[in-house]
Amino acid sequence: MKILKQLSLALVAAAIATPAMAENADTTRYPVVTAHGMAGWDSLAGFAYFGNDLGTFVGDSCQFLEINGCNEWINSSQTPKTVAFQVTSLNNSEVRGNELYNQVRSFMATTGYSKVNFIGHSQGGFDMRKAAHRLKSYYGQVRVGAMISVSSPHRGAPYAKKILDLYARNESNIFCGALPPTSNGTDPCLDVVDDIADLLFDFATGANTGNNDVIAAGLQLVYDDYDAGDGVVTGAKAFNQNYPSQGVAGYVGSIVTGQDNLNLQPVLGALHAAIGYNADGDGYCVGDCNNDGAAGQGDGTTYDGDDDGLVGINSQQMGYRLKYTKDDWTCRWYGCWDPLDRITQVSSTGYVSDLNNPSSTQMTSHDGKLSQDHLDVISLGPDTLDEEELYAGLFDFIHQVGY
Amino acid sequence: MRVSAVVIAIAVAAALFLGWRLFSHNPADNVPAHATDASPVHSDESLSIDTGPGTSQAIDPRLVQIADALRRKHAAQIHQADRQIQLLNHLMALLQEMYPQGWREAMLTVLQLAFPEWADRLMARLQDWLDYQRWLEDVFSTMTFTDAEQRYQILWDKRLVLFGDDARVIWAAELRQRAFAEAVQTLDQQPGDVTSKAQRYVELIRETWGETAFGNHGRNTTQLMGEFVKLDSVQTQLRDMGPAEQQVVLNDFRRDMGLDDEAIERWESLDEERREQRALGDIYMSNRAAIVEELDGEAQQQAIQALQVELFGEEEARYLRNEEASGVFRFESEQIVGFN
Repeated sequence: MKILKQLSLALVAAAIATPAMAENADTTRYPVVTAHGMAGWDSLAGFAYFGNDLGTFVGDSCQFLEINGCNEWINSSQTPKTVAFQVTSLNNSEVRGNELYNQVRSFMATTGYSKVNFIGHSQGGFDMRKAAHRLKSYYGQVRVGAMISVSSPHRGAPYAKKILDLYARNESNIFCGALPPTSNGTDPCLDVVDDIADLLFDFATGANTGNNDVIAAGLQLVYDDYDAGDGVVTGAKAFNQNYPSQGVAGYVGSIVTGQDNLNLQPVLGALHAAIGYNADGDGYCVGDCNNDGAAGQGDGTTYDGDDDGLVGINSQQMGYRLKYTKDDWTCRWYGCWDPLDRITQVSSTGYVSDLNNPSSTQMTSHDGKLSQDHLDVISLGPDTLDEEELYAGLFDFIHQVGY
Repeated sequence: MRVSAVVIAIAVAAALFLGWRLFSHNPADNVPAHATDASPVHSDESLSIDTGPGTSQAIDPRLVQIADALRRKHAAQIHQADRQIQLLNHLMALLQEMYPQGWREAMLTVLQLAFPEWADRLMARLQDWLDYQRWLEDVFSTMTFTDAEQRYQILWDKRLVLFGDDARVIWAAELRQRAFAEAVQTLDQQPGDVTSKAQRYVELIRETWGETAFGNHGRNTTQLMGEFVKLDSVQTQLRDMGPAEQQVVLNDFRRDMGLDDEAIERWESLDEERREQRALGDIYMSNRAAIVEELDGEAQQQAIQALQVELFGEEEARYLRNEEASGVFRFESEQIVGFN
């Protein structure tokens, strides 16, 4: 009789349960720290760098905040577990990584958590690696669960070198902050950088004010040491040797982005027009064999979605490559619902363990590439990507891999 | 045997109940009978086929299903302008894949099925949104803003023209953040001691985000605490205090932010660790300068490395060397009390 009663209750419960209208992301075991890219933001108004086009932070759940602007794809328990820390907008990742590390330590003091996950966009992918190393060094053990980069130039960005060549390090041209100002008292290069940063992320303090150092920021994103004679060792290659992704996190992965020019964010299109350059970023070679500022080379075809407007796809894979799959409206006999978009691991491109020595496939394959540009994956519109669902998918994936 | 029969009977009854319950409120009650065909359709299987969205004679059953699900998901909030934009964006992306040529007609069909009383207004809103996106592309391409403030004003002028007061709902999150940032800037410039500023700051947070930002596991609590202690007027006062007085002020502020005793203790330890690190950093920079003065070449490098290891241990010494090789000197910048 007891069994019957239990069975009846179970069946009635099944009958009452309507199909889910949407599948929310499972909450991560450890909090997710998001690390922003170059130019980031420098005021509180920039909280929503990781957000949608309306300024909603992807970590704000609708249950947690009974106000307009929220991510309906996450549970309320994810909100206090999703944080965005601001680091210096323009500097290298030695500086920014330290700042991120310090803020993670502060976050751990506030919450009592002993581990975090990282999602880093663009240069944030470098910053989080340094922070992960320092966390391991301090605690004597790995304190990062999942470490996932989105559109990060782990092996350099040709546009950075192009801009440095054209402007900052070209003595016949304008010189970002490193030479005396022009006769009218302004530095045209800094003005250009300020304008771009301003436009992107409400950048307000100026490219070489405070802790900002636009040259150091640019040099971080060139693969090799830009200038052997300048007394400093810079570039992604050296940084990768000093702060590998191996051994500092439980899971390492990356989202790779690439898009053709016709669909590029207009700011990126304007940048390309200004410098007269478009990268070909899906060819293989060891190191920066063509001296374009990024490891690898082109495959001879420029407009095949081989870069995301700033970074070639051959620069972006770290650890496993992750694929984003939209999943809208599934119907069964009992009704329709809108499932959460999925993040899955791409098997064909394997695992990049040595960031400076990926295989030919890892540098050239378009498998799993997210067809969006460098800025579509963050809050700057206009774009067609549902940022809230993308990051909810990432949270869900991080939960799936145990973190 | 008897138990099995009862279980089967209950299962059949439950299945019938479930079927009745789900289809009894199908919005397609008003559309032709064939349109209510709810045969299994997965979006992946059908999106590549452009069959046309349907006419008054035949509505694609997939649209009926989508409308049904949309209505159940959004009915309660369909009056909210921000949810309308979310819904329209999502639906547009889906229908553009299903019907590259006729997605607007499909959208009208879905909206009429799901929200008949809102369909026209939603279609008009969609047009406003598309106009806004096109305008954004144009202004971003030309990059004619002189600064962030001008950009903000131009964006808002356009938003208000297109969306009226609803713009304030659509971009509510942005407005909240900006209002808070401006209030904090004003607070920084106003006279007052650090304790009174802290109290006002906590009030501002409460006014902006309610109670969600408070406690060990509040929303952005750590970032918000950091933003306060970083204020120039706050740092100026904290730096004028001794460590003990600093700690009292910081502890009080953190308690006001809802942190419990354990969190306060963790923070005290971290503050102390950071003070010690900074003191070591000052010693390091001073001794390093002396080494640079006295030695050259390899001897200089060896002496600096020995100093780094002595003061910070092997691993941190390695990070310091990496930093210095790239031109960064960690202890050159002033410490932000209560932050790093």
